[in-house]
Amino acid sequence: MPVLLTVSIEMTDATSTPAHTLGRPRSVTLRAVRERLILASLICCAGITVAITLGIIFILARETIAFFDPGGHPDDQGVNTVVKPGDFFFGLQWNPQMGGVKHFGIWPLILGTLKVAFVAMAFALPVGLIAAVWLSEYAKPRVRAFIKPILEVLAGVPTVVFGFFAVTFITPVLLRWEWLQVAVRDENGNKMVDPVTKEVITEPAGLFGLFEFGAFNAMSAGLAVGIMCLPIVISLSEDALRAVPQALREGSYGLGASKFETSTRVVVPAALSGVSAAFLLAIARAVGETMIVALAAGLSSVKLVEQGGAVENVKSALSLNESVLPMTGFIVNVYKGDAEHGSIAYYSTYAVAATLFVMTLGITILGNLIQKRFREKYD
Amino acid sequence: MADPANNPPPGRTQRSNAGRMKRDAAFRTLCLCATLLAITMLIVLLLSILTQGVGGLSLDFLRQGNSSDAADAGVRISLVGSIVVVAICAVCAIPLGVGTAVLIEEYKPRHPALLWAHNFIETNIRNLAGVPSIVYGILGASAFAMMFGLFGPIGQSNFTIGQDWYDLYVAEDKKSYYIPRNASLRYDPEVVPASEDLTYYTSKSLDETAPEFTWITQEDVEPTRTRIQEEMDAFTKALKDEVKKTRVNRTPQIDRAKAEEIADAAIAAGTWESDPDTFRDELTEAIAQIDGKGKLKDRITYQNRAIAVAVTAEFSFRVPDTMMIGKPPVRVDEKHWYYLSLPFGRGVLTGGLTLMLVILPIVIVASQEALRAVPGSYRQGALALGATKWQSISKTALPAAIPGICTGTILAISRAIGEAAPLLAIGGVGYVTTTPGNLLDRFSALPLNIYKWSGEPNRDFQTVAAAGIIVLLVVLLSFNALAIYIRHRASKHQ
Repeated sequence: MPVLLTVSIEMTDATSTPAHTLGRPRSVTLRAVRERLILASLICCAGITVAITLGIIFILARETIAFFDPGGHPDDQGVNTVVKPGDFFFGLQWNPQMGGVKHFGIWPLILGTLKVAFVAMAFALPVGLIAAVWLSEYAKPRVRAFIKPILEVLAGVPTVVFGFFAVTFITPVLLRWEWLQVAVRDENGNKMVDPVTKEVITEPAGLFGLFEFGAFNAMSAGLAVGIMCLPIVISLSEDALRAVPQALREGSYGLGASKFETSTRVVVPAALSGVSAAFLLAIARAVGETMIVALAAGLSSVKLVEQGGAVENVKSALSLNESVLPMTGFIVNVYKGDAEHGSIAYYSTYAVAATLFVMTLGITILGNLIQKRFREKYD
Repeated sequence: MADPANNPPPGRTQRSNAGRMKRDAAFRTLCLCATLLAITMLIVLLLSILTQGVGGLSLDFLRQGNSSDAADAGVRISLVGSIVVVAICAVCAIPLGVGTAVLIEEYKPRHPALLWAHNFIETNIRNLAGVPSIVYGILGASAFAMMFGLFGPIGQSNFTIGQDWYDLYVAEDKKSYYIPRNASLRYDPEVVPASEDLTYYTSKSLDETAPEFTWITQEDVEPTRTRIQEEMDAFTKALKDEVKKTRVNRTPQIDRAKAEEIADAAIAAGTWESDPDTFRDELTEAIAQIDGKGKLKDRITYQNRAIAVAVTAEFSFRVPDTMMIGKPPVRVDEKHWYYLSLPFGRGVLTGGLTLMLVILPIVIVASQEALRAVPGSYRQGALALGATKWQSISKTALPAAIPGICTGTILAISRAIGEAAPLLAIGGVGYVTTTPGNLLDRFSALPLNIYKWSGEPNRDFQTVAAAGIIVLLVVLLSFNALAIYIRHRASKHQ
C-alpha cells in the first residue's frame, strides 16, 4: 500500500510539474472562458429578438382566442356578444361600441385600410418611381448629392406631422373644389346667363360626385400617406436603379437606344427586384400607418351592406369621399379612450392587430423573397 | 451605291427618329415634373407647418407645460417625457441591437442546424422591421404595462423597489413632519390602509428642513415619560427644598428674585437633555405663583405646575408633541427614480421598452450593414497575429464599423422620438401635468401631444400643434445633422 501511494504521488508530481515549470499560460483557458461568455451573451441578445417575435405571435394569438370565446363577452347593459371566427373573417358589418347588438365583421376595416393604401400607392408609386428614374438617369451628380440627403431626412419626419398636414392643408384644399366650376345649362343645353351681371352661371363640377368630399375622407388620409411614402419609394428605387451596372446602359446606347428607351426597357427591368421590394415596403408602411389615419380619416364605423340597391352599396363601399375606419384607426379609437380591460372592444383590437400583423408580415416576407429570388447579379 | 436595304429612305428614318426624340424629351420632362411634384409636396408640407407654427413659438412655449388652454400650452413636460422615454429606449436597444448584429455577422456557425437557426434569426429581424408600430404598442401594453396579468392589476403589487413610506403629521403650527416608517412596513396591503381611509395620499417630495424624527407610538411614550419623571426627581427634590426654605409661618414667601434663585437651584440639580434656558422664565413664573399659598393642597398644585413646566419642556424635547396628537397620520410614499414594481404600468419604462421593440430591428440591420462593410482582411490580420475571435472583432471590426453603427443608431433613435402610435397604445392620451420623477411615472410625449393638439376642435390648438411640430422637427434635424456629421468625418478618415 505505502509503495502504491508513493507511486501515485510521484505520478501526479510528474504530470503537474512540467506544466507548471513550462508556465503553461493560464490565460488561454481564461480567454477561452471569456470567449464563450461573450458568445453566450451575444446569443442572449439575439434570443431576445426571437422572443419579441414569439411574444407578438403569442399575445395576439392568446387574446384573439379569448375574443372568439364561445362563452361570449357580457357588457354593462348585460348584452352578451359571442363572436364566431366565421363572423369575424367574413362579416360585412363592424359595429363594436354601440349599445345593443354588436357586429364584428373585419371586412369594412380591411376595405378602409385598402382604400387609404390604394390612394397612397396610386400617388406615391408612379411619382416615386419616375422621380427615382430622373434622379438616377438624368440628374447631375451634384443635384443628386443634394437631393438624396434631403429625401433621407424627409423619410424621418414623424407620421403625426403628415397627419397634421392632412388635417390642416389637404382636407381644406379638397373641400375647396369650387374653382372647378361648370356652367349651368338649361333644358336645351344652352348656358344660363345671370340677367343682372350678364355672366354665365356656374356650379361646382359634380363629376358624378367624385369631388364632393366629407370633412373627413379617405382621399385626404390616403394622399398624406402617399406623401409620407414618397421619400422612401424614391430613395429605395433610386438605390436599386443605380445598382444596375453602367455596362447595361452603355450596351443599350450602343445599340442606338434613346435615354427613354434605355431607362424604361433596360434599367427599370434590370432593377425590378429592388424596385418591387421598395414598392412592397411602401405598401406595408401604408397598410400599417396609424397616426395619419387617426387624424385625417374620420374613423367612423361602417357597414358595407346598407338598405338599397347593389350599385349604391358598391359605390358607397368604394367611395373615397367619405370617412373611413382602417384597422389601425380602430385600434387607436379603442386605446384612445382607455379601453376597459376585458371588454369585447378591447379583445377585438387583438384580433384586428393579428389580421394587420399577418397582412404586413406577408407583404414584408414577399418583398424579401422577391429581393432574394429575383435579384439580378452582375458580377 | 443607293442600296435600299442598307440605307432606308432618309425621310422615314428622320421622322421616326424625331418621334423617338420627342418621346425622349417628353419622358425627360415627365421625370422632371414628377421629381418637382414630389419636392414641391414636401416643401409645401414644411412651409404650411412653418407658417402656421411660427406664431406660436416663443420662450414661454418651451417653458410651459400641458394645459387645456391654448395660450398656456407648451412643450416642456412632453419634451422632457420624450427625452426620458427615448433615453431608456436607447440604453436598452443599442447594446441588444449591436450584440445581435455582431452575432449574426461575425459568428456564422457551420453546423447545419445552427446555420438554420442563424438564418432564421436574420430573416426574422428583416421581417420584424415591417411590423406596424401600433402592433408593437399592443405588445408593449400586454407584455410590459400589464405583464399578462401575472402580477395582478397595475399598481397593486407586493413587489416594489425604491419606495419609502412615511407618516405625515400635520402639527398645530401647520408644519408637516414626515416620519419614515419602518423599512419592514413598506407597502404591504395588510398594513397600509385602503386609499379611501386616507385623507391625503400622494407621492411626496421630502421636506429637507423637517427634523429627523422616529415614529413613537403611545405605548412607546410611556417608558420615556417614566424615565423622564425619574430623572426629574433631583429637580423636584431641590425645588421642594428651596420652596420649604422660604416658608414663614408655613407660608412660602417668594418674590421675583427669590423665584429666579429657586429656579436656578432646581435646574442645577436636574439632568437635562433640553436647554433649560428656554423654559427658565416659564419656570420662574410658575414658582412665583407659590408665593403666599398657605394651604398644602394649593402649594402642591402650584409646585406640581412648576415641575410640570420642566417635565413638559424636557419631554417635548425628547418626544416632539406634534407626534403625540391623537389624529391618525396620513400615509405618503416617496418614490426614488429607480422605483420599480411589477407590472410596470403605463409609465416611462414601459414607453422606453416599447419604443425599443420598434427600433431594435432598425438598429440591428444598420449595425449588420456597418459590420459587413468592414473588409474581412482586418479580422484575418488580427486572427493571424494570434488574437481570439472576440479580440479580432472588438479590436478591429467593431471600431471600424462604429461610424456606421452610430449613424444607423442615431437615425433609429430619431425614429423613436417621432413615434406616437405605440405610446398611444400603452398610455392613451391622458393629460399629464408633471415631468416624470421615476421609472414608472406616467408621461406625455411630444408626438402624442401633437396628435392631441391636432385633434382639438378649438382652432387655436392648430397653432400650438404646428409650433410643437417645429420643436420636434428641430430636435430631429439636429439628430440627423449629427448622423451626417459622423458619416462625413468617418469617410474623411478612411
